[in-house]
Amino acid sequence: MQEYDVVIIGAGHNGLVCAAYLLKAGYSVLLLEKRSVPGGAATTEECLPQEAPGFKFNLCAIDHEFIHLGPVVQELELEKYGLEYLECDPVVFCPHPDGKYFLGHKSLEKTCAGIARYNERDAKKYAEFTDYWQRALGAMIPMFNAPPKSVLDILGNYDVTKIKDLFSVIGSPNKTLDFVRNMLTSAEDLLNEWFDEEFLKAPLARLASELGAPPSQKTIAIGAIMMAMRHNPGMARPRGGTGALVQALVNLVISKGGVILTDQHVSKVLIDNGRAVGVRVANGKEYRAKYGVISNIDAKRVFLQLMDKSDVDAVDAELRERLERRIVNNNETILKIDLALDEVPRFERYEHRNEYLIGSVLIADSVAHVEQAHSKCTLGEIPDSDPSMYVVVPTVLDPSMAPPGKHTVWIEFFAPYQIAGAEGAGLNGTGWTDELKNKVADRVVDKLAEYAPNLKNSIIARRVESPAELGERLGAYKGNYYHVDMTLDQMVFFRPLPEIANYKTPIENLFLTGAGTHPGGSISGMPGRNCARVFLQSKHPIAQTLKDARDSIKSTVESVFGINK
Amino acid sequence: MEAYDVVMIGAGHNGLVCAAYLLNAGYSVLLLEARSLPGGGATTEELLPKEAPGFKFNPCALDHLFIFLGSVIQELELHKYGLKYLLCDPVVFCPHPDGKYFLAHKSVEKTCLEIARYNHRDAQKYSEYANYWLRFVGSIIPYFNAPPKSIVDLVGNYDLKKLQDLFSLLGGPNQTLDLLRTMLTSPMDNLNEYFDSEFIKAPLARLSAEISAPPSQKAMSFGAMMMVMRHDPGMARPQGGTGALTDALVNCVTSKGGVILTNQRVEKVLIDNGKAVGVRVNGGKEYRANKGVFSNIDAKRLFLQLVDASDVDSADANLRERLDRRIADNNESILKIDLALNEPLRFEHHEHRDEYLIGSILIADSVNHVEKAHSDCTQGKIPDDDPSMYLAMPTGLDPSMAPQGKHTAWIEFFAPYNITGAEGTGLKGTGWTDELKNKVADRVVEKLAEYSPNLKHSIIARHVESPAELGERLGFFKGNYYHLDMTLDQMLCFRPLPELANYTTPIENLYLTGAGTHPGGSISGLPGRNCARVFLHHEKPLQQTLKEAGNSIKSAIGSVFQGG
Repeated sequence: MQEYDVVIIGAGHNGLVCAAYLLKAGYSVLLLEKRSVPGGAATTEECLPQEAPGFKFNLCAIDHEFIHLGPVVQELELEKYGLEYLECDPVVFCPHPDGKYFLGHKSLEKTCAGIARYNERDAKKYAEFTDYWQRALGAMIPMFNAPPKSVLDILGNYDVTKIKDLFSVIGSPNKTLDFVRNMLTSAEDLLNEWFDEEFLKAPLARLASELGAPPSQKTIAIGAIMMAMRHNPGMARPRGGTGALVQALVNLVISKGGVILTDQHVSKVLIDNGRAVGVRVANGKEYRAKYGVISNIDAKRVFLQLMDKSDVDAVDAELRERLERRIVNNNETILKIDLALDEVPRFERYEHRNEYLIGSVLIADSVAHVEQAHSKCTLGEIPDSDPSMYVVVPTVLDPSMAPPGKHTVWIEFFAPYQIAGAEGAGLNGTGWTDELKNKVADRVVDKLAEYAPNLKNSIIARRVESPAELGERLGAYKGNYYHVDMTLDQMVFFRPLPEIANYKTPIENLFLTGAGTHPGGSISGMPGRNCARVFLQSKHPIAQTLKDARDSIKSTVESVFGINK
Repeated sequence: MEAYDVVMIGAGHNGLVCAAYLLNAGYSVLLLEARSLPGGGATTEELLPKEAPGFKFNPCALDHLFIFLGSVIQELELHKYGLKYLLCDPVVFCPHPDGKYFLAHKSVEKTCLEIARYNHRDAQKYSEYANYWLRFVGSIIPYFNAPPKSIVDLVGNYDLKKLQDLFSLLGGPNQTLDLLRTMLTSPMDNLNEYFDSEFIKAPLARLSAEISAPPSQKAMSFGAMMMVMRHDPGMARPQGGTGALTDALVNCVTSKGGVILTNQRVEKVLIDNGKAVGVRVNGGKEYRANKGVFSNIDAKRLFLQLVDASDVDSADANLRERLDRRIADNNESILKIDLALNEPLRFEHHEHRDEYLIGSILIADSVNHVEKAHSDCTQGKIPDDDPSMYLAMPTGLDPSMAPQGKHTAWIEFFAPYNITGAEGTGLKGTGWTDELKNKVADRVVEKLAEYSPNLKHSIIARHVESPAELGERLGFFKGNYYHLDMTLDQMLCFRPLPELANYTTPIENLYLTGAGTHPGGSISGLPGRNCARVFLHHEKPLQQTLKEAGNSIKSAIGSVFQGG
């Protein structure tokens, strides 16, 4: 039987990041990926080879923000392994039915100037709003970059600026309460407090709701950082697509002697005497793990599907029921549409400029429009009577992703995983069929074409992936692209549950990483890095603590872009 | 000019409670009420004197729960002033479309037996659920009975039993985090964790959502209190209706020399040199307040409508904008239907028993049904294509509220205050017209008749009040019967805003009480009592502190029923 120091279940970007840190520390690592390509939700694939050869699509993640809040790119020196980030500027475009539009630039001043064309008060408020959330973000960065329950680690991560940020947000007792109140409120409440104009509130609501809940959902007003981050540190995409990040990580892992095996579906974690000692894959082959098995898949799947009941019950009699029943899933997932195009979509009625297509394009006509896009999913209804969506034309920033002169469009449309009233029908009993997904995609494309009328004539081919298919491809439970909902009750030291929130589990040598662990989903690499640190700390407590205290977080934020310049 | 120590704006039940405590402490008090009768949301009225004479209706509050978490009734000896509570048991009935039903008794054990008829696991889980949330209620009682920001007060209110409740919930670090996590989740999350059957989840979701947010709303899981309080301390109604509580308070206040003037709408709080010194009512008459002006109306109306902008700005330059913009309102209000009936409701499809008609009756067919009942309101839509509702037949417990052999039905239907797409039309530009409210009421009654088919031929008369009318009658901002939403971001030390959360305001001698202050809306008297204590602390700090330390909260729960 092959033996490694560490076996990682799943080769998503967090698994790869984690592996890289462990390899650097001298451990041997094997990654087992069930798909034929590594990367999980961070892949770029030529998924329409016949109808649209040479068109490269990002099947899931596209816009990278969170990764710039941590030191992963610099610490792993990913530029050396071929990673190049292209910065987006403008960062957001949102056309509105009344002819107004929101154009967010990286520069806060330029953005405010654009808002001021319609409303001076909102422009001024936008500057204050962004400043507030930038400071909140600054105060949170150390928290993102440390295991949630390790206070020491967090204190070590606070440098002087961040402590200033923390105090400037918190301040006096009433300001502290006000900050807590902001954390408990909803994006909608927060936006109504600050702004008057729908053309501004709607795109901000849509971005906040990218955390996967309606704008009216309390406790996730923090979604405001989804826009604030686009100003600083900024938003970028790897040249060649999200998959280029994975490629750089793969290059690094392999160059350090790591082994990545694809088409290896782990079917069992092997437990010996309360301790994880290896895994078995679908064909029966077993791999030994001397120091640890690390799961890049979520806790629910690893404990409920890959382990014997009795092994879990023996270490924590309540864990299985708590995982099964206590983890919340609001039934919201994504219907993903990818288009191959002859020409760029043109926003004719908005003085079309190609720069609109550099960043994220949002179709969000009002806060209520965004609300129904999410709240219907909870009820199992498809919000396609008037679709709201998040659109990107990646080829404007990076023409290498399509044949010369051609383009692609990436569309994210929120949809329910389980359709109410269609239980038991369609794929995996979700109600989703090919006919249905295409009908919904038609409506989404129709809506987008109201804004970009040339769209429909320019479509060469399209790929539509239903929530059920997405869930099946990625193995994500109920198609949840964040593994576990990103609401406050499941963040930080609650993620995925308090007793397993520190990357460790009650099974010795079994560790958790990936989107289902702190700080959560989307491209950040932080769950991978934090998990590796916990692992190393548990193996070499003192040496690692000293090293961390020294390295701290020196290199964080701006440096990604600093290096590229 | 007439002068009193204290002038109270509004004579709702909290204003009356507060006045009673101040009178007990020797202050002279004047209460000014805009309506022709005191009570605010706590009245009983003959709404249909022509069509249904002798039928008494509760236009707003009906089932009393929170008041039993404090010591207001005992401390003010309200039974001496005519108050008698009738205990409800059973407390909840919820018939389901599949023929199952949820019947909750005051006893948790009996309730579990009812559940076990359909599902053993859920019955067992119900007892765990009730136990968990009852301990939660136990541990927050001291917090309810103290100004939210006064820690001293709070510690004095924790007796051994309540500390045990608190620690039993907290436990080790992971348990503490787990409690916090539970607080941050939604009723829907919490219910799905415990239960499998819709017939139990739906009524619990409906009760939780009485705090006025959809079951999916995060940080609202504490709505579970609405059910467990029905087990302990229990649910009751004053004999003669909610107005009988107000009557007892009025008796108490007037017997101690307090003055209550009705039809006196306060138009202005008089400020002199940063200090509240009195009020002016419609018609121009002014009343002097030597020690304090108290507002039983919410902070938003008080500061934005009754105080000069310059006076507010000079005390706190940000306050007006914060009140105007930061207080959240989810647009949810109530369309209230009151029916005079020839005969009691009969739940034919659910083995009708008259005891179903004692407590709250819920029409809540599924958690999604309840979800829609609330989430539509947020979006300005009327959730009337399949109405969910909370109703009661008060005459089932208290026949004195209708002529002999006759009955009344009290129906609460959640509806938006502002109707999307109808902006600028109807009453106050909300979109609500007489035609519309009656059309909606027809659908609500039809839905109820699916469960109680005899309903439709037994209606003698009905009274329908739209959200816009309710807002106008009670003066509520956007028809919000809780003054401001009871979501966690506006509770405790956040209610109504951190800087106003301790019943005091930046304007000297101006105090806040009522539903818009901690611990919030519904019949409790706690905002009134807490506010009075803060005032008395200011006036006689040492003496009051010693007195409080002695009295603490000795008498709290249970004693009401023991006394009766």
